[in-house]
Amino acid sequence: MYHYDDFDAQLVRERVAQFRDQVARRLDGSLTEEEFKPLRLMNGLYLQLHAYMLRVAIPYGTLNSRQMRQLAMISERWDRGYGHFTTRQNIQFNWPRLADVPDMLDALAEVEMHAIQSSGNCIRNVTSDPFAGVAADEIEDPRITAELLRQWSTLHPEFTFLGRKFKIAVSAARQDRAAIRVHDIGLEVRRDAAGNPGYRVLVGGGQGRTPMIAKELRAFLPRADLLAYLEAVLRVYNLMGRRDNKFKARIKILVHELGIERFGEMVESEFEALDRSEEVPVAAEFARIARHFAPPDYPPAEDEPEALDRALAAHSDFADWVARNGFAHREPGYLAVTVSLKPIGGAPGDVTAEQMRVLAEAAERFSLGELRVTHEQNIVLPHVRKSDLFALWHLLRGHGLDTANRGLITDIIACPGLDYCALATARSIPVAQAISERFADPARQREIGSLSIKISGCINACGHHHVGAIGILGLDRAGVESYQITLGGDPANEASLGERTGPGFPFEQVPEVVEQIVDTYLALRMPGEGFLQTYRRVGMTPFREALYAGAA
Amino acid sequence: MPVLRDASGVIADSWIRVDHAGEIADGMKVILPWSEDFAPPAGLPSFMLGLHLPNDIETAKVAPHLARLGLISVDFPSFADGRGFSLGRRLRNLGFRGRLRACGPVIADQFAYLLACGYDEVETPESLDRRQPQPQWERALRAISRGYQPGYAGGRSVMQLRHQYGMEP
Amino acid sequence: MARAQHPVILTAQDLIEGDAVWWTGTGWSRNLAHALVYNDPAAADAAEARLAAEESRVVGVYRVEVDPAPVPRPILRREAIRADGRPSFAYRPQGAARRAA
Ligand code: SF4
Repeated sequence: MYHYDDFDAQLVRERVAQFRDQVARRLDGSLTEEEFKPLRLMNGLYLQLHAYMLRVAIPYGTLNSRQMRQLAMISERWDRGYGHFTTRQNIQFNWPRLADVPDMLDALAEVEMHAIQSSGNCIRNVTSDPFAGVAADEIEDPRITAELLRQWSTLHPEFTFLGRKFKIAVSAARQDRAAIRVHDIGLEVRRDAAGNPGYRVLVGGGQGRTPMIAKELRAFLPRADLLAYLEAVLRVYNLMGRRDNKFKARIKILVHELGIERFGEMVESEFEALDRSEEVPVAAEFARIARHFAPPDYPPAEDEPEALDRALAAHSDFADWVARNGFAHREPGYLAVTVSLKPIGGAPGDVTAEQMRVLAEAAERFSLGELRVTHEQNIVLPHVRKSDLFALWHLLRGHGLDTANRGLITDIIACPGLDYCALATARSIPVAQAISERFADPARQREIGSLSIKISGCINACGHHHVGAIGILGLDRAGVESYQITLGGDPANEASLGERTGPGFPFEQVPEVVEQIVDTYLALRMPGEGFLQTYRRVGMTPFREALYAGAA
Repeated sequence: MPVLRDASGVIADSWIRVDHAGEIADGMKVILPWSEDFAPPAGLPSFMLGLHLPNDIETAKVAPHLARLGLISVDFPSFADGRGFSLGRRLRNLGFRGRLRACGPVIADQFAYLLACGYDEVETPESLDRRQPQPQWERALRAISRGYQPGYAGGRSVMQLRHQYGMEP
Repeated sequence: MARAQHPVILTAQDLIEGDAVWWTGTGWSRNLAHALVYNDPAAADAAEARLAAEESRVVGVYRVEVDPAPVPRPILRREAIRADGRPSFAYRPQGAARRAA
C-alpha cells in the first residue's frame, strides 16, 4: 500500500497545525461559526445530534494493522471506545470534544492518516474496489489512480469551495465493485486498441434527493490527460453549477440541465484551452505510486490444503463462513475474506476498540498486515492463506466477528440516522436491527440468498437506499416516522435505481413489510434466480399487490 | 474603509471605483463596473483602467477586453461562494497579465488558495479586519508549504518537485 | 399545517463539548430540568433571536416543543433522542448485541 514520502508527511502535519490554529481562532472569536463550519467540515468534523463527529479518511478503504490499532487507541483515548465504518469506506468517531480534535489528528498523522476532505463542499475521499489487487478480473490496481487523485484533490486551491460535495470513484475490473455509476465522476480503467492505459469517464451519477445514473462523458481518456481533464470538468462545474439551491447544486443537476452533449462540449473546450505548460508527466507520477501497490511477496501456500478440507468437513459453521465470506484470490492458495460487521441485532458498521485490535491482529497474522473497508460497511482481510482460514475463524469467533452473512439479507447497510445524525428524519439503525432479528436464522438467510437491504435516515441517501435491492428511506410525516420502500436498485454494472412500492409504512411494520417482499420473491422465483433477476422479470405488480392488498 | 492586501502585506489602494466612465477625471486609475455594453473608454491607457466582474460572468464576453485592462476585480459575494477561484484561473488562462483582485468577505484561510489561482491582492471589508488582522493573513500564507497541484504553485508543487530532474525519487 | 401549540424551551450545543445545553433564563445548563419553559411564543421568539445573535460559547440556538411537566419532555422523537444525549438503542459494545448461534 501507499507510504507517505516527506512531502506527504509534511503536508499532513502542517494541515493539523493549521487546524489547531483554526480551532484556536474559533475560540477567540477570529472566526465566526459560519466561517469555521466549512473549515472544520473540510477536516472531517461535523456537529451532530449529540456531539461533534470526526470522520477519518481511509483512502480507497485500504489500511494496515498499525493504522487499525491507532484507530482503536484514538477511540479509547478521545472517544467512547468504538467507531463506525461508513458507506464511503471511512470511519467515524461519534463523541470527540472540539478541543481534542487537533490531538486526534496528530495521532492519525503518526500513522499516515488524516481527516482531510472527508466532508465539506470539496472533492471527497476517493473510493474504490475493496478487492483491488485481489480480484482476478482487474486490469490493474485501481488504487494507483485513486491515490494519484487523492493527492491531486488534496487542498486543491481552486476546488475547495465548490457548490457542493464532489465524489469520485475508480474501478479497474470488469465487475464494478465501486459503484462508479452513482458518483459525481466514475472512472473505469481501460485500454485502447493499441493497449494504452486510460479511462472511461462517467459523470453526473449520484444518490440523494434526485438520484441519477452517471452518463458517459468520454469513452476513452488517455492516462496522460487525466488530471488536466478532471481540472476542466471541475472548473466547468464550479463556474456553472447552481448555487441558488443546495439540492440542485450537485454536478448531476448541471449535467441534467445542460444535457450530456452540451456539458461535454463545454468540458472539451475548457480542456483544449488549458495551459498545460507546468504539467507533470502523469505517467511518471503514476509509476512512482504504482511501485507502492506492487503485489506483496506471497509466502508459498498450498491451494487445497488437506487440513482445510478436514476442518471444513468437521465444522459446518466454519464451512458456511468460508463459503459465504470468502472471495476468490488470484494468487493460488489464498482467499480474501470478508469480516462481517453485521452481527444479528447489531448496529451495522460499528466496531469496538477491542474488535479493532482483533482485526489488526488478524491482519498481522493472517493477511500480510492489510485490511480493507467496504462500502457495505464490512472489513476485508485481502490476503489470507487457505491453510490459515481455520485459525483466523477461531480468532474472529471469539470476538463476535464471525458472522457468515456477506451479501445476505442481514448484511444490511444503514446510515446513522436519527440516533446520531443532525439531518435525519427517521431512525435507521433500529430498523436494521429489527430486520436482522427477524431474519436471524442462518438457514433461512441462505435459502433467500443474496439480497441487499439499504437504509437511509433521510433523503441524503448515505445509506444508499436507491441502489438497494430493497431500499428503505425513513421520512418524517408530521412528526411521525414513515418508511418508503423501493425495489430493484443495483449499484453495479447494470446500475438501476429502485422503484417505490407506494405509500410508506410506520416503523413497527417495516420488518413485516420486508418479510412480505421476501415471501413474494420466494414464491415467484425460478430455480437459480436471485432477487433482482426475479424482480426484473416479474416487475413491481406482484410485490405491490402483496404489500397493499386490502388497502383502500 | 475596506482593507487591501497582497502577499507583501497591507497596501494602499491606488484605484478608485466609479459607476460610469463619465466620472473619470484626469490621472485617475479607475475600476468600472461590468455592464453588457462595456467598452474601454477611449484614451485611457490600460494601466489606468480596471473592471469589476460578477463571479457568474461569461468569460467570453470579457475576453476581447483583457489586453486593455490593468486590473480586474472579481466579486466574492460570500467566502463560501468559490466561483471566483475558477474565474481567476480562467482569466489567467485567457492571458490576462494585469492585477487580479478578489473583492469581498473572503477569509484569511483562503488567502493562499486565492494567490494560487492567480490573484495578486484581496480587498476585504473593514469589519472582517477587526476579527482577522494582518498577522492572521501572514500566518495563513505560511501554513502549508507546498500543495500537490502542478500549475498552481509557480513550479514548486509537490508533483513537480518530485519529478523535477527527470529522475524518479 | 396547524398543530397544537406546545410550550417551548431553547437549546443549543456547547461549542467545545458539542453536547446539548438548555437555556435557563440566565445561562446555559446541561440539565434539562433547569430549562426555562416559555408559554408565550412571543417571549420565546425574542429570547431566541437575542441568544442567536450573541457571540457565545454555544452554537445553533433553536427552540424545542415540550410537554412541560414534571420536567420538560420534547414532543418530537428527534428532540427526545437528542435530549437523552445518546442513541435510542444499546449503542456501545457490539459484541454484547451478538447472540449465541
Ligand atoms: S442519509 Fe440522512 S440521516 Fe442518514 S447519515 Fe445521511 S444525512 Fe444523516
